[in-house]
Amino acid sequence: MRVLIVEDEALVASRLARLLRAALGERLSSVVVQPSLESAQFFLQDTPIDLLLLDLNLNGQDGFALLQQAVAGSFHTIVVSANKQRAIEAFDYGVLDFVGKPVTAERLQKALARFDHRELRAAAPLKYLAVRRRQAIRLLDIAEVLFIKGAGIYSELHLRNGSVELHDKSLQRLQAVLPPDFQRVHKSYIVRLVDVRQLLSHGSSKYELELLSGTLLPVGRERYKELKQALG
Amino acid sequence: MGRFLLFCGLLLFGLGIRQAARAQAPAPPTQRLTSWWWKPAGTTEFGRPDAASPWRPAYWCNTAVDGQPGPARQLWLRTRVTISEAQSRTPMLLVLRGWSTASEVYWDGQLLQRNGRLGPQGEQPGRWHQQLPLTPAQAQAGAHTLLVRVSNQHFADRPWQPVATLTTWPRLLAQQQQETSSATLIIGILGASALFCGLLYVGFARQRSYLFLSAYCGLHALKIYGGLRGAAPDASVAEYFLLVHDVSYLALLANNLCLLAFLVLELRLPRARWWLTGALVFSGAAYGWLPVSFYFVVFTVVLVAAGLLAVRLRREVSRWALAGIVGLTGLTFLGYLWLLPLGYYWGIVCFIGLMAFALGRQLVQRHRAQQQAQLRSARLENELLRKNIQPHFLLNTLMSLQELIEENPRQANQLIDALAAEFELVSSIAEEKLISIEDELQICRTHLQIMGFRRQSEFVLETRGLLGTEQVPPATFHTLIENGLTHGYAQRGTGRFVLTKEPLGRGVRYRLFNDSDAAACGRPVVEGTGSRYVKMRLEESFPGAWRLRSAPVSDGWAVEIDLLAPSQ
Repeated sequence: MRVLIVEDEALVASRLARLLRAALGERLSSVVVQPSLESAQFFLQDTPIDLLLLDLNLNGQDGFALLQQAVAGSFHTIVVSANKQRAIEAFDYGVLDFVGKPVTAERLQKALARFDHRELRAAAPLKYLAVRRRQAIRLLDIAEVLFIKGAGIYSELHLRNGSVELHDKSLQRLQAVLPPDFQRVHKSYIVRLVDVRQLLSHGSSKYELELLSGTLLPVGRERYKELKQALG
Repeated sequence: MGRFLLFCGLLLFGLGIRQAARAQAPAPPTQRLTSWWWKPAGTTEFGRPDAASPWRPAYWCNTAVDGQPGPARQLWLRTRVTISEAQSRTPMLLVLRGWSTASEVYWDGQLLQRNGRLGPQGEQPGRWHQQLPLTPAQAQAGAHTLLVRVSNQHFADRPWQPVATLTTWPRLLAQQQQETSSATLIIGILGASALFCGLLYVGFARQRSYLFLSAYCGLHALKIYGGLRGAAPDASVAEYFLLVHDVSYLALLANNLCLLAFLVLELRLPRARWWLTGALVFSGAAYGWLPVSFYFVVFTVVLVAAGLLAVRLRREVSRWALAGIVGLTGLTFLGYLWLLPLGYYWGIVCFIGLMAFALGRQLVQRHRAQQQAQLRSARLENELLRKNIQPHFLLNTLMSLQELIEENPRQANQLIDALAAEFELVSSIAEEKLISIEDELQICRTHLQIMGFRRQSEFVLETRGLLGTEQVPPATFHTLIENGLTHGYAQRGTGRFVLTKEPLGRGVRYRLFNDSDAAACGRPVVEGTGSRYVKMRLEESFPGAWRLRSAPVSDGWAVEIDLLAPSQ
């Protein structure tokens, strides 16, 4: 796992790196510390990472500027901050977890567990999905999303207005931060259950899902029972 | 406020109209006798004056006999009185006041009364007031001649302003009752105002202007009371001159001095000593040389000038003070024209009423400002204490401490010591408005030590030109250093701060320089809570006498604070 720590306090960054090494062991392939927003943004342009540990108050600058950019990326973000009153706001943007300072080994371990186990969802559901568009970040209200289709290492967000936005996260990583009413119905599709009209069975283990909009989506054979149970 | 002024205006207008209506009635129940003619004493000849007659028109203030200054010592005075049919049906009487020293009154050649004994040898003063009833036979409708023989050997140098009035008993009684009740009412108002202003003086930092206003009200109340006593029907001429003239004139001088002192102090007029010394000298000279009316006119001009100057200087309550002076002058003039009894005193009530309203409003505003200042101080104290327990500072420090405890226990102990020292120092100065710069520097150095541990950097603070005893608001430079650390040392292993003190033409300048990268980063300068805190502290301790500039310099960032000495 490649981890970037964005933290302006040398001792805090040092402790986070030490705790990460202890928690991940061999799985940690690299850990880099960047002390400012500018250096972190510069680093992320060229270097792919899997996890970002982000402080929200960096040299008097608001880390939310980087947060919006980070959640649009392909990696997961865990906020490590003393400003606990901003935790809910951070979850709105789809962070994996919010760890308050001072950080203990147990608390960091719990946050890292969410990276590996998608069933351990975040403490609060996200409200926005950040997507990159022409060097800028656009925040999409999660309620605008009708369904999500996997597109290799990216995801296509199909919106209610018929438009499609590309997200840098894979379907698997996106699922880790989506609210519980978004369910994986196929290896390439995630659907919001409230938008489902009916589940169709065509025989020979071929299933489809009809959305309220009339759109038909394939349903994976192995997910049919779980989905039928969820829809009641 | 508008309603109050409207009420005062209507009240005064009503009083004026009422008196004016009485004065213009076709057959006045009270008739003031004027058009006097005079000649030296020695004859009892009656008849109309003509070219051959020695009778000459008499003007009370300018009576001279054969070059003698002042009123003649022995003279006859004569006037014509016309009684209408309507008047003749009511019992009438003559009221004479101020015919000092002794007099004989003749009605149609018949002696009505002898008041004292006429001089020049053996002159004995009579009473100041005379009330002479006329029999129905004497008060028949038609023209009558009133003749008064006067001897004023005793009080020849006194101003002589005799008054003669023809009136009825009911009217006289009603008039006396009205004057007494009005005077009593005014005494009550002025007495209460004197007490109120005295309490204001005691209760509000012993502001001397309130003391002078209290004296102004109290002395006037005493003056009216003395006037009532001196104007009693049985008062002698000597008592009258003492109580009504001498004491009254002295009281008027003292009162006007009090009024001017109040205005000069309350309106903070420049050259207060010159105003008061000039007024004192003028009043002293006026007592010996000028008649009351002339003195009053000159002093009124001085008061109006003081009011206009205050308005021009935009002083608080100056417009109300000027309005009060104009009201006082106007009502006094109405009284002088016999349109408003006790017009001068009603003018004072008008002035006091307006000033009470204006001062009351001013006090309320000051009270609010004081409350806000206290609240601001409490907020600043709270903010200062919060700086040390704010999550970003405290929790980052604790997390750094966690790391040091495991990795470098010796430094961990040092960090704990520094943290405890900063808490102790900040707690001890939080309630202060000013602290010595030595204490301030100690807090700054402790904070730099803590931040040095946290960032694994080395920060130093150098000082130049400081004595150590200078007084500055608490945590001023501490906050500026904290700002410098937050914004300018992201990727630096060292940091240098320099605090310099330089004298200014009027005051002193503190310059805090840091060699940070804040300027190089090119971020927009946004005023944060730290800068606001410093500005509020400076305003609290040096209201309106400070300047703060924060700007990048060639090799770092500099903040300059100018503390200006108060202008003389």
